Amino acid sequence: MTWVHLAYMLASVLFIFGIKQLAAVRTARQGNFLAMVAMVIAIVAALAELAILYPESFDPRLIMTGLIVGAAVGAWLGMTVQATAMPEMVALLNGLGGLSSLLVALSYFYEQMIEMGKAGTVAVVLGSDGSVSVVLSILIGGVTVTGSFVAFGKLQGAKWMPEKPILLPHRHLISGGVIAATLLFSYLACFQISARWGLLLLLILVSLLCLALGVLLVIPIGGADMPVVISLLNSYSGLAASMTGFVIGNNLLIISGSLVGASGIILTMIMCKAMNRSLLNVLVGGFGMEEASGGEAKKQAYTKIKSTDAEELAQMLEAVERVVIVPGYGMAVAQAQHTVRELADILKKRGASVKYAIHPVAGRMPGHMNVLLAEADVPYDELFEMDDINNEFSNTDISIVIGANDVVNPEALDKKDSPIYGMPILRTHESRVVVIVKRSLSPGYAGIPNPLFEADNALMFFADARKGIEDTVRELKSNA
Amino acid sequence: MLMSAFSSLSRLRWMFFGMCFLMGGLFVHGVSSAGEPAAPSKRQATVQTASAAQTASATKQSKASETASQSASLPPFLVGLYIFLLAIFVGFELITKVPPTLHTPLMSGSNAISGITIVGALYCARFTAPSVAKILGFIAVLCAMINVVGGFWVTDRLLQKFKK
Repeated sequence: MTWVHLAYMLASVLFIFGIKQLAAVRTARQGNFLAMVAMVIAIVAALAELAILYPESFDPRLIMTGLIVGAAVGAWLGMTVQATAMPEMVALLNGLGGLSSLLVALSYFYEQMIEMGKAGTVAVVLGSDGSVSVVLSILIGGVTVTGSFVAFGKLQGAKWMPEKPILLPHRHLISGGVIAATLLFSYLACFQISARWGLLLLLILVSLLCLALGVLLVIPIGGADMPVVISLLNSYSGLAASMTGFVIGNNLLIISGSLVGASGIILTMIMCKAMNRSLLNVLVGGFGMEEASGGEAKKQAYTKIKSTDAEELAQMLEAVERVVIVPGYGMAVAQAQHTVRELADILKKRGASVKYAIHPVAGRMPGHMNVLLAEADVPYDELFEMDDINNEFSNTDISIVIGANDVVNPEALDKKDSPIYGMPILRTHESRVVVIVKRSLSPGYAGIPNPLFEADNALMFFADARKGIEDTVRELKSNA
Repeated sequence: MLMSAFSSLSRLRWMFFGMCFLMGGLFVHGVSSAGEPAAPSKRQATVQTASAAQTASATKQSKASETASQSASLPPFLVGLYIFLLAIFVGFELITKVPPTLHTPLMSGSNAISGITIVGALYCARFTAPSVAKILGFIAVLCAMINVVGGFWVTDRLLQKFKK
């Protein structure tokens, strides 16, 4: 038995090293490998522990079936998923992890309370600590499951889950009521009720309420706030695993779960800071919806828009030295990253320097733009973080904004009553010329007009990101 | 002073503290409201069997460790709580500065690690005798394994792209 626990300990240490190495570019792949090794050790140790504890009754057949089928499905998903669909895949897998934690808690409860037929309340049979852990595991697991699945739908742009915030009437009241009911039923189930059918009913009710809560929490949150939600759900799935650790009394689960929980929280804070909004403000949801109607009216308020086209842009690019490309969600939607790199390659061949300015919350998940550009083989050292490149815009000949809006809106700097006031932005308006590749003048996620569009040095290039850049590349090639 | 302690990240740390105290409080409440010490669950027995000396016979040992846990050593739940808190701090310290490039792979990798709940799932599916608990356990094993294998695979594919 000691060996089993030493193995668990080794796995915990490997997980810690794995996460540490995942946080640095040079060692990240090795870190992932370490975590993989740790997981194998943990599974083997758990099987050994079960075989030692239950020498006669342990039956690995069911487990092996589950492991093999699960591994096959997981490998198939991992192998076949398109690089651009990886954000959704992460959300989906996150939901499955939460579902597993939820099911473990339910199964443990059912085995101990119903099948073993012990008398008394849950708190008496499992110990009050055990009962609280079971309920917390169900709670966090349940919210993670449906929350992640809704996030999956939003990221995928599925028909059943529009990306726009869905605002139910009295949604705060509904969510508050569901939370209150969940806590009340949980309390009753733990400490008050001892009738078996009553307990079963309550636990099923609590599970359903938690699942509903996950949906209620994520549907009012719009597309551009997804980075926050995804990292928060990631944190939840870790905490759910941690609670499962309390349920079955396994320290390895507690350690690795809380590591994931903490790392998810840190990412969440980074994302919130990048939008200058509190976590609560994001979770309350509906951001930008209040102003949306006003935004429609203000759309006509643009008076001095200057537009341009591929030919003109190509001509301008003939003689530039310093170019900064600002990608946004529009580039992801249009899948324009390969074309963008092609453009950058041509410019570099002509001796211009090309840099990419990445806003922390550009796209729909943390690091979304980095993944897309990496997929298009854009060298890592051409990508610049906001703080590193903001001083360079005044030296830049042309900034090309591709499908980004709010993250380059100068209103955030000086207009105090703007909803995005105080959000750190990329200062593209300081460059000599800004070309904004965008399909229309429609407002971004925040639903507010962008004064950059009518700035003196700004040119609007009305086109789909991919089509527009493709045309420009063709013009550049034909001129050469 | 106090206000500044409650700002930004530290506020979240306080929330974790609060959550842990709440759990501890419920634990105490449960013990007192039950009127008697909680009956040792199978889980506790498992943990105690693990931690106590191997030489004693199974029955003697569980009785011995039961009395020990009442007199001197901490109940496993509180030990778990200590570990939980400390691991949270380790997690915070590990990932204070992540380059944005790695945000997606870090999330995907840590997501795969959260599939560690598979150990709990294995425990639930340990016998094959058909029962609701086992079926739930089996589905849990399946989901967790998809999460683990898919998660590590996707992470590796993501990280391959970052190679210069």
